[in-house]
Amino acid sequence: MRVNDLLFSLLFILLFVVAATQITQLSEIASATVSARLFPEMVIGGGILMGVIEMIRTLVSRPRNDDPGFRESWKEAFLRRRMYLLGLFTVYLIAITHVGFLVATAVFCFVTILVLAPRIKPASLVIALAVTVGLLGLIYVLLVVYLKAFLP
Amino acid sequence: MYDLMLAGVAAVFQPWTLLAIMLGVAGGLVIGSIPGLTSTMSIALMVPLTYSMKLEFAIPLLMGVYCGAISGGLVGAILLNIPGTPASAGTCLDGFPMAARGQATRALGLAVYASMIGGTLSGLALVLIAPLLAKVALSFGPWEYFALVIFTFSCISSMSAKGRAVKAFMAAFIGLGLSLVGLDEASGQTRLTFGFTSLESGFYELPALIGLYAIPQLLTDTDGIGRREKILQVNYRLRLFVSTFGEVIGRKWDLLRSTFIGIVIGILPGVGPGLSNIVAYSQAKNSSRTPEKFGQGELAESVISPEAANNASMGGALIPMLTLGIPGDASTLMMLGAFMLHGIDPGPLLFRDHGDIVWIVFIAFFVAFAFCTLLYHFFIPITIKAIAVPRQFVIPVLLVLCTVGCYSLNNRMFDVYCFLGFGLLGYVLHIVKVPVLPVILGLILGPMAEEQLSLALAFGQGSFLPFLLRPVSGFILLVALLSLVLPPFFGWRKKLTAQRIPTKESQNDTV
Repeated sequence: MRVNDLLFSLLFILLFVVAATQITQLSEIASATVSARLFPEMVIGGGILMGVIEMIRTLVSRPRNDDPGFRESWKEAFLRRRMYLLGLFTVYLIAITHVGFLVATAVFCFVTILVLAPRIKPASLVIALAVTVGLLGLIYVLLVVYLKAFLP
Repeated sequence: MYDLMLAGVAAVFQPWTLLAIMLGVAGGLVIGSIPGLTSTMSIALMVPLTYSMKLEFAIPLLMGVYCGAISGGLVGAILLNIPGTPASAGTCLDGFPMAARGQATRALGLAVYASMIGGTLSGLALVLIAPLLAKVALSFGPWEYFALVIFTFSCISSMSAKGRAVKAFMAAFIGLGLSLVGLDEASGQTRLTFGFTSLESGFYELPALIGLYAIPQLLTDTDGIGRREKILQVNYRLRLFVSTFGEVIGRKWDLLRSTFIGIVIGILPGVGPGLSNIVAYSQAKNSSRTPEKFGQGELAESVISPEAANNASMGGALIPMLTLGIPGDASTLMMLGAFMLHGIDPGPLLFRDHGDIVWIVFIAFFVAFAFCTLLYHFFIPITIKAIAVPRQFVIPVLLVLCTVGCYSLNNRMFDVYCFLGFGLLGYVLHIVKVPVLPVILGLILGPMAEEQLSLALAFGQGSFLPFLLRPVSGFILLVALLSLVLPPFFGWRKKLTAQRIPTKESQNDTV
C-alpha cells in the first residue's frame, strides 16, 4: 500500500501542477473586487499542499501489516471478470453511436451475461435471452412510452 | 404552517403518488436486499428517470426508494451474513447468529420493527428540527455558509478511517478541482477545459455521482459471481413475525438510545447510517448487563439497536440537506442531486419559498416508512429470492439503466462518457483506498463555496477577518479546527500512555 500511496500522491500532485499552469493563464478583471484566480488558486494550492503532506506522511510512517501490498492491490484491480465487464461496457458505449442504442444494448446485455457466467449452460442462454428481451421491453415501455424520454 | 402541511398531505395522498411511493419502497427493498447494491445505487438509478416527472411525484417516489433501500439491507445481513448495504453491517453481528439458531423470522421481525420505529422517530425529529434550523440559517451570511463547507470537509476527514484523513482531504480537493472546470460566470472565462468545448459547461453532477458510485460497485460485484453463498433456510411465519413487535417495544431504552445516536450521527455531514449502526451496537453492548451474550444471537437489543440507528440516521441526514443544502450522507447527496435536477436548491430559502415541497418530503418520509413496514410483512419471501439472484444477470441490466439515465438528463452522449470517466476515477480511488464521498461533496459544494467566498470578500472589502470575527462563522470554524486537531491529539496521547505503562512495569521488574 505504501507504493500505492506514493504513486497516488505523485499523480495527484502532478495533476494539480498541470491545473496550476492553466489557472495562471486566467486574466484579471479590473472592475472585480475579488480576483478571478483566488478560489482556483486556493483549491490548487491546498491540493498540492495535501499531496505533499500525504507523501511525507507515507514516507515517514511505518507500513501497516494489514495493508495489502502493491502487487496484491493491482492484481485485484485487474481481476479477469472486472476487466471483461469494463472492456465490454466501454465497447458498448462506443457502439451506441455506430449501431444504435437498441442493437448495442441487446448485444451488450446478452454477451455480458454469458461472459460473466461461471459456466455456460443451455439454461444460461435462455435466461440471458429472456433478461435481454425483458430489459429492452422495460426501457421501451418505461422511457419511450411512459416517460417520453429520448434513447441514446 | 398548517396550510403547507395540508398541501403536503393533499399532494402525497393522491392515488398515483401513493402508488409511486409503494413501488419505490418495493423496488428499494428488493435492490437494497441484494448485497453490494446500496441505497445510493438504488437512488442513482431512479433519479434520472424522474427527470420528466413532476416534482410532487418524483420526490415521494425517491423517498420510497430511499427508505426501502436502507431497510432492505437487513435481509442480506440476517440471512447471508453479508450486509445488503453498509448501513446494515452492525445487524450482521447478531442477526445472522440469531437466524442460524433457527430464529430467522424473529431476527427479521425485530429488525423490521426497530427500523420502523427508529425511522418514524427520526421523521419527527426532521419535522421539529429542520424548520427551526432553517429559520436560524436564514440569518446566515456568506461567511457562515463558507464556514459550513469547511466544517463539512473537516467532518469527513475526522470521521475517516485511521491514517486516511489526509486522503479524505485529497479526495475533497479532487472534487473541488473538478468543480472548477467550465465557464466561470463571474469573470466569463473558461477554466481547466484544455480547449475542449464540451467541458465549457462543466461536469453535470448526476453522471459524476452515478459513475463514481455505480461503476466501482458493479466492477467489484463481479468478484462474487459463481461463489456459492450459504443462504439460511427460513420457515417464514407471519404470526411469529408480528409477535416480535411486543419484544421491540419492550426494549424501549435501547430503542430510544439507538434512535438518538442515529439522528445525531445522521445530522453530521458526510457520515450516516454506515457509522451509526456500528456505534449504536457498541453502545448497546456497553450498557448491557450481559455483554458477553452479544454476538451469539440471543438478545433482542443486539438486533434492535443497529437497525433503529441506521433508519434514524435517514431523518437526521435529511436535516442538513434540506436546511443548509449540505448532504448528510451519500444517499442524501443523491437526493440533493434530484432536487437540483428539478430546479430546486435546498437551503433555508426552500422553507420560505417552497414550504409545500418541504412538507411533501416530510409526509412522503412517513408514508414511505409505513409502506416499508407493511410491505415487509409480505415481501420477505420475495427479498429472500432476490438475494439469491446470480449477479451476472443484475450487473449488465444496472449498467444499461445507468447509461440510459445519464443520457436522458440532457440527451447528449457527453454525459454518458462522463459517467464512464467518473466511474474509472472512482475505481482507481477504490483501489488506492481513497474515499469517494469527499470527491462528490467537493464537486457539489465547490460552486457554493466559491460563490459564498466571493460574496463574503466583496462585502468585507477583501478582508478574511469577518470569517473569524462573526460569532457563528467563527464558532463553526473553531469546531472544524477542533474536529481536525482533537482526534490525532487523543490518538497521540493514547499511544503515549500505552508506551509509558510497559516502561513503568519494566522498572518495577528491575526493582
